[in-house]
Amino acid sequence: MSTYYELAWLIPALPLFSFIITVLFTRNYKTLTAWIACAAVIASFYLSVRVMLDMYNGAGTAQTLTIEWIPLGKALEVTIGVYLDPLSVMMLIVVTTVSMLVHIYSLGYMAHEDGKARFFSFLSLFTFSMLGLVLSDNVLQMFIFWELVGLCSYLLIGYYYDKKSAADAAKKAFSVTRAGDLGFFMAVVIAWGYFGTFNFAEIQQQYGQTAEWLARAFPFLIFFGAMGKSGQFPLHIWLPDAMEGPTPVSALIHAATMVVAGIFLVARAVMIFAGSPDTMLFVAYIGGFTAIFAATIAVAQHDIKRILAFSTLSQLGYMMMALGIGGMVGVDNFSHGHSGTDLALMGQTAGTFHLFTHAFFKALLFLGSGSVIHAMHTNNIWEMGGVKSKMKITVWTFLIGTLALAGIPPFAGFWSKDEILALAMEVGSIHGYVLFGVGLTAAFFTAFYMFRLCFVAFWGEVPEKKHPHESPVSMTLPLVLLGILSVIAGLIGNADMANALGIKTYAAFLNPSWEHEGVFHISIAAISAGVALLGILVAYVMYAKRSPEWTTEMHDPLRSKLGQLYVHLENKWYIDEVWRWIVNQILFRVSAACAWFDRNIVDGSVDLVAFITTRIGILMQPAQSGRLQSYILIVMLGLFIILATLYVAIPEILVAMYR
Amino acid sequence: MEIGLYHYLTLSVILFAIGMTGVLIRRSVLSMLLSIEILFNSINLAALAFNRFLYPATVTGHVFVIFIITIAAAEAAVALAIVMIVYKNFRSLEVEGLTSLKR
Repeated sequence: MSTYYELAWLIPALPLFSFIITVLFTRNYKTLTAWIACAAVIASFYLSVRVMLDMYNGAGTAQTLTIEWIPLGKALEVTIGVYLDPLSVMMLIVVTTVSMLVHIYSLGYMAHEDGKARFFSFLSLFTFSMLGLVLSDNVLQMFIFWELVGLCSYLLIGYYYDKKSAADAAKKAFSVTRAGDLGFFMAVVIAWGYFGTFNFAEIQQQYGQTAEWLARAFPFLIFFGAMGKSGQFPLHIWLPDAMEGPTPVSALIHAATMVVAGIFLVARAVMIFAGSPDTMLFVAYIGGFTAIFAATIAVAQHDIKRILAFSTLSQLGYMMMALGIGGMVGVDNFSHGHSGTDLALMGQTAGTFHLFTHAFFKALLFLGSGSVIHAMHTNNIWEMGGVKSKMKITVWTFLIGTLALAGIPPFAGFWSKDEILALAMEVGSIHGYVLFGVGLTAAFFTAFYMFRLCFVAFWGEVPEKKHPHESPVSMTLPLVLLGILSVIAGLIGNADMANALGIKTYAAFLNPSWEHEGVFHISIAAISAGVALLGILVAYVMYAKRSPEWTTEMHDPLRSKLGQLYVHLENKWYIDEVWRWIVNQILFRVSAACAWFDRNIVDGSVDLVAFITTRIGILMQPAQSGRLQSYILIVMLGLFIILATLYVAIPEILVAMYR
Repeated sequence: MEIGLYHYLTLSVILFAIGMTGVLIRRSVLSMLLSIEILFNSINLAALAFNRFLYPATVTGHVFVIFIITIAAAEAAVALAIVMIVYKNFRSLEVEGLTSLKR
């Protein structure tokens, strides 16, 4: 085992140390706190890269640290471990890269904030939680970090806690994801109760012999947890509101931490999922629906970060869809000459590869939007415009991110998105074709709304009284680096490209024992690129002549074309309202009934005990007269009664006393 | 008539009764303390009598008695100190009056 494998535990530990130090000792030194946090995450990044290189050179999967946390023999054995396999190492790279760049970016973005120290402490904690999550070898450890990630996103979304909308968004994010966490928690309990272990590999081994209902329920419950965290319909409502947090936080949440936790969980458990094709079909359709659903909403949004948030939802849907498509054949079946196991692994490859590329360009887009917001002091794209010539680095890197997200070759998003579409065709069957169509339609919308955003926000004239200027170097540097990554990260997915560069493909890295490459068909690639170009063309026709008179969202040319439909889209298909109704009309009533039961029955019985005790006390009060002599008299009478009783009952006792 | 165990025990019981009556009926703390001393000594007498007539070879009773005397001395010291304080505060030694802690 290589040295860096043995040091892998430091990767999550360093941000944790940074959090502890900054929260306990350096709260009052803002700049110092920021630098400690940055140093910790940079060190983590370095270690991750070294671990990745070892893994790349064939060091193999390893469990490098196992701490017995709750050793209770056979009943319950809880360990905390550091588990290194290609999947977790890939996640280490994603998390540390994005987190590091977000830290650096925040040095500039948060420079003048009062709560800078708090912000950097929480960023450290967030990074620690996510790194701990990806290194988990068992469900319980993962659940603990899972909850920590949820807590951190609550803290950071609610960073501006004196602003009501931010506090509300934080609460919303916390409670909606908690709804999903309930499912995951049930899965954890099932893992212990029915499999007797928390370890993923051991659960997987037992999976063939489990009861049918269990084989379905377990992955479904896990997926329910992933739905909450990864914003799958209908638990997606928290994510668009989560942009109330500072922009670097949005970048971190949307790209590398919070939301990819759900994808990672499903990818980690993909072989368990593949044992239940029905669940996988469900996963695929939920993912596909989320992809197209969120993409349509993004078409009619006006807040730059909200558009990006919906695009994240859409891309997360893509990833889930990929995982689902791969597994829906089932391990025991074949489709088009591929075994179910192979297809599940292909799904894992495609889904996580999209996660990988998406992390870079989505972080880029969020950080870029932060830079623009910083300069324009507004989130509304209609109040922007004309920054193209003023903020060259920001706009050009943003455009790279946009092209990557839209799926234009050779940018990163093209390769990963294409792999998902190719996989859908590869699996075939009616579901494969339907999901292929869904993915293609979503790709069209994606290209359209992203270029709508770019044209409206960056083209045209600078509005009066606005003086945009390029951001400081600590903000543009991460943009440039992420821009480079957004161009090249996709190349490793394609066998020809990787061979030309002389490196392993992503698929070969993720499954070293597996002879398949990622799927790539030139015809499908051409179709998806064509659809993306069509989306761009439509956006170009509609928005390229960005008029300075379009100063509010009411001037959107799309509004008159779509009519009433536009209003529905603008209102996000009223899902928030549906949830509000459910919460107000159903949940709160049930809660009110529970509260009544708690107050009157549960509290009432406790109060009754207290009342009875008090009454007895009052009854007994006269006995405590305070008269010393009456006490003594009572003692003496008592003694006399005892002795007399003894004498009457057993007369020999007095004899015995004399012996 | 030879004086035996029962004579001693009878005297002890009489002393005990006197002491107990004193504790129960006297109103003055000081008198009660005196009565308690009588109680102690009735016990001492009984213990010595038992030792003398039942286990002449041992000294268990003596040890007991010495303990009781020691403790009685210590108790008297503490109790008299308390009595002094009580008298200072209440200007009286009537137990009936010492009820300020009752509620």
